[in-house]
Amino acid sequence: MRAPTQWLADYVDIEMTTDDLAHRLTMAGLKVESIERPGADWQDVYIGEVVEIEPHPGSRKPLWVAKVSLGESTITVVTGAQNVRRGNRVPVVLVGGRLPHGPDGSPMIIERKPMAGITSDGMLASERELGLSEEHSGIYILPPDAPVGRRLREVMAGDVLDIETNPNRPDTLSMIGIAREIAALTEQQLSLPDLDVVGDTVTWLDEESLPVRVDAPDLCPRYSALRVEGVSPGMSPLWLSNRLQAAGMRPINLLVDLTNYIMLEYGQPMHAFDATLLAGGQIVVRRARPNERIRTLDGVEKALEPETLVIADAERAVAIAGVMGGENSEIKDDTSTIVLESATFDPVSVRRTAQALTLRTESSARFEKNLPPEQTVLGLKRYVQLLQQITGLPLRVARITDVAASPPPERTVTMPMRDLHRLTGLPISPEQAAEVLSLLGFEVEYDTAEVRARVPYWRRADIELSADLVEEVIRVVGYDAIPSTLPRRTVAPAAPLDDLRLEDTVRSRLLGYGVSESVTHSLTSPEAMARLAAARSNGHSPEATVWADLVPNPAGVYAREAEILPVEIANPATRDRRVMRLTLLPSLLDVVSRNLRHTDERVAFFEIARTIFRRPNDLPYERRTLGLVLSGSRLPRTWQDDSPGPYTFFDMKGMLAGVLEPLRIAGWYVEPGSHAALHPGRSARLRAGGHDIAYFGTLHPTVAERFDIEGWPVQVAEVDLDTVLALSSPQRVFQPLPRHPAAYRDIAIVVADAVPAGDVVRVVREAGGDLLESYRIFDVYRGSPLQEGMKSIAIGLTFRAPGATLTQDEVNEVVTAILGALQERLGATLRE
Amino acid sequence: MIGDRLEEARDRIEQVRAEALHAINEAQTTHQVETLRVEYTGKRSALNQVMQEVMPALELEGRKRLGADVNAAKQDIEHALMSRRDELGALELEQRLEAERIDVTLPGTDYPRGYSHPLLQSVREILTILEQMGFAVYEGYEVEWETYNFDMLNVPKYHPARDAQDTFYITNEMLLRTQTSPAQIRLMQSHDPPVRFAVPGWCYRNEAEDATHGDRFFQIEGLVVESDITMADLKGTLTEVAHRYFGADRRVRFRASYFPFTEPSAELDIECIICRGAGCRSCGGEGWLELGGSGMVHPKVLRAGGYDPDRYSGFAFGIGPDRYAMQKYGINDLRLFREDDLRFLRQFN
Repeated sequence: MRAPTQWLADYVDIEMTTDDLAHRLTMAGLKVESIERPGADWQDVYIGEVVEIEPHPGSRKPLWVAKVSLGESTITVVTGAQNVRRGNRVPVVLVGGRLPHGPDGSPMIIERKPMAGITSDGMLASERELGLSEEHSGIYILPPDAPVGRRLREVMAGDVLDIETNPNRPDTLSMIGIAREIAALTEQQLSLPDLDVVGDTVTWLDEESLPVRVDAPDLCPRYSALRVEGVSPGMSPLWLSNRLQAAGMRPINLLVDLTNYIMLEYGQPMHAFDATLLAGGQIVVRRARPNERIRTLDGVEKALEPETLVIADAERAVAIAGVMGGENSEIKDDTSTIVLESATFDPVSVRRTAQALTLRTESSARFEKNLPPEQTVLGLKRYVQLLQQITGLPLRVARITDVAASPPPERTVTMPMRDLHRLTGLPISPEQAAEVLSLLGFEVEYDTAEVRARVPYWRRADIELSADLVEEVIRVVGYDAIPSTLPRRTVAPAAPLDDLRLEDTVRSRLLGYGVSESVTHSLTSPEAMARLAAARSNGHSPEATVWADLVPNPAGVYAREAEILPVEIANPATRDRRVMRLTLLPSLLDVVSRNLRHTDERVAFFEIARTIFRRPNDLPYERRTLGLVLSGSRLPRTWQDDSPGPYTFFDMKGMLAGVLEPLRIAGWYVEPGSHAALHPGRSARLRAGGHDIAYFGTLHPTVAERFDIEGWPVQVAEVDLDTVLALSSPQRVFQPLPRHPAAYRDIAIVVADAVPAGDVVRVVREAGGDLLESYRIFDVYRGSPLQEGMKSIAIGLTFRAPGATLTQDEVNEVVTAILGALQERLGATLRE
Repeated sequence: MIGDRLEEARDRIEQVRAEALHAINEAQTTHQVETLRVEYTGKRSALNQVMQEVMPALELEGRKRLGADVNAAKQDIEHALMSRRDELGALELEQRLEAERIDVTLPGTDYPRGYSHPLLQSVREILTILEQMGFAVYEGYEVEWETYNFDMLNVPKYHPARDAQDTFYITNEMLLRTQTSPAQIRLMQSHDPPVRFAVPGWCYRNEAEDATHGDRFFQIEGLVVESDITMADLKGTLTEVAHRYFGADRRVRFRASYFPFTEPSAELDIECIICRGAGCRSCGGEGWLELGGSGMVHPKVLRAGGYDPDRYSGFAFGIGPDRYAMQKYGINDLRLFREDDLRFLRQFN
């Protein structure tokens, strides 16, 4: 809402700077987003009258030479604009004067220079050059009452506040509403126009304005109409057009401008029809007929949906209710009788219509916020008063036709002083509270215990409870007056949330491993996720993607894999973001791909976020998930190592083990997996407690290519952190440190290449029994002199007995048992 | 005869001693010194040979004298050995250290380190502050029932905020939460007052993406309900959070605002980091930037949570950690938070 300060000053004294006023309003809830000061950067801009205008004799370009009167003197001005006529009043910038917006956007100073041989003493300016609007199609033509010779700035509407109003306060979408706030903030009475005083050129007719029928009373609580005869369109006076313009509206003609002026003044949108163009001389408020169309004032023909509320005459729609009038009944140059509409429409209906037509107007913006029916008649009265004042014409005004449902009941809200004190913490007196409310328009009674306030109609939608009155009082008293304290009572300290603590543990480990934290978007498309499926050809439809191949059944919550489906947004903004993601990997791979464009070093990212799985007839499963992607060089190239390798599968596996360590997951193990995104020979899943906790491995080269990742292998993992948390046993029990020395043995065995190392160590572990404290594979070798198809695995073994030092014989016995078991179960032989 | 042998022996001893001392003096390495030590003080040393050869032929007095001479010589030699060894040892250490000299200006080993995301850093910092102030951290659902997200929060049907323009719907009754506030209801329903909760999480609104908006944003909800909570407590709590996060020299202000679920409502502003409240391009000339909404919990919301608004009052707030981070570091474009560019992330670690 743009509010010119000089306009506000009609209703309230403003005895402070614009900056201070803006601050007071902002703090009270009417946030001033910016202040414009029209004319502050002008110099030597005057109002001139064009007394003579001739085509430039010596120019091939269409230039004009104008004699412009400035009252006491007349100057010669050359202009290229084509809209200037004799008698026009126009802004003239004298030589040496200054304007804010020259042709290149920066300020310009007017110089005396000949144009095609004729010297110009100044320049005529457009609205854009003056910084008033973006209008630049011609010179700004001022109304005929603009005082010739005066500085233009002196007749402007003053500084303009651009105010962001709150949605619950449609009353502040008006000058009077804002002035009322100022009055309360500065403790003065609001001074409003007396609508009963109308000039004596008006003749009051003793007849109804016109028949009005409201067929849709549910969408139109009140329709007030007024017929005015003897009007004549013409330009609005300068003060009026200046105010409209400052408030952001374009002057059109007096009859239309007055409807806009009153909308801005009272917050009541109005519309003027040419009475002779209303078929049957009547108004019908009804829903649109099937296939009904209307060409609105913006010149666009619109198809109306059946629920659209229209204003119609006997035959056709003449306006879209609350949104915009139709061309078929608009004010013309020869209009002499008008019908004024001042009505109340259902806010939801207006909003839907404005949205459906993508036609949001000053009018619809107000109706959407639920206007009170009480103010319709005020608008009509004000119109007649102003029209008479401005034109002095002999107007003939019929009686108001008013079709109204019974008005909403009045409401009195009681505010116990206890509420005021316990919510604000301030010792505000009942007198003070009552004074504030009264200045805001409430009718107030009070005693020491409570304040009873009758709610003015313009606040009906907003003020319902005691707390609402508390807010009115405290925002006018000022939030600055409230002290700062901390809640006194202590609340029993709560345990930190296990889930978040788990996240922190995982996060700090990964950061320590050199993996960076990313935040990627949770909305995606099935196509974007389906990129993960290696087997998919590019033309393959994502609907055919089996999501279970990409996201292992989370913790077994689904009975059938076919039930794994993403949650779909019913009204997505873009197709790219129409489902919630089932996996973090695609967006993480995009991050890695983007970063690989500018670096090769350690492009390693993780994200901890939720993946969301559809569940029939209930809120979806939200699974806490860890995604991990490693690519690029695992270390930077340095003087110590100029060719560090890429991340390997085993980097990923080791990282996962490191991440799981502090979470104490019992008995987890890794086995070969078959994930659709992974290299089939480098795919694994990590299991514990009968569940898949994670899948990980090397990204399938086809998939990597799809993400534009080339030159580096990519290691990926996705971990179901919710299951990890459920399996985590963070309880730690101290184990006494060993008192007896350990014995160490290395063995190297030869075994068939197809035997997984995991099988070898399982046999070692089982055969080693209690005395085997730990083991570690320290070498794997294939090639000469080993036979083809064989490999050697070297294992370091650590033995220890709890209560004694082991003898050589005892150790030898266990080693022999281990070798025997390896021979027997895996066909392994001791390497010679 | 015996005296001659003794004299001869003593000459030999003297000769060995002189020879040894000379050799020791000539030694250039501790290794040579060690060789000399074995040669002159070991079992087969020349002095021992003299003893073995001559001793049996001497009577007691002679033996004593010879023994004393040999011991004296031995001591001299051992002393010389020791001092030469120390001398050379010190020299060798010095040489070794000199040889081991390195260019300490070469770069250190590059240990891997990951960079945490500034947005989530700010989330964690703010949650830590809130936990220190007695708030318990809980989480809500990203996908919520419409009734929790709107109806119970005093956003009635047909309120513009419920419009499909602003909200992503899943079904008619299910949506992506537009705020973390649904957790207020869930937590009140499951906990008796007094309560002090913080709820972090992602929220969604159907807004076009630009430098200060996105269709998804992070919010930390705060809720405090007790029997006698006032706006002063709200103001004090949020000021304390802001001061701990930004430092006590950044000014904040509370101004009146409107939210359906609070009454009275307040907006928390912080002075612009660039111009400190004077107004500049970065803050759109206002001098102040919004940090988030807050207010006293609306009586209808308390009631929806099962609390009696006549007995309990409380405040709630929504913190935008992205705005906090932007104002802390002077980041001017929210989109940087979404790109995960290592060159950006590196700056905040």
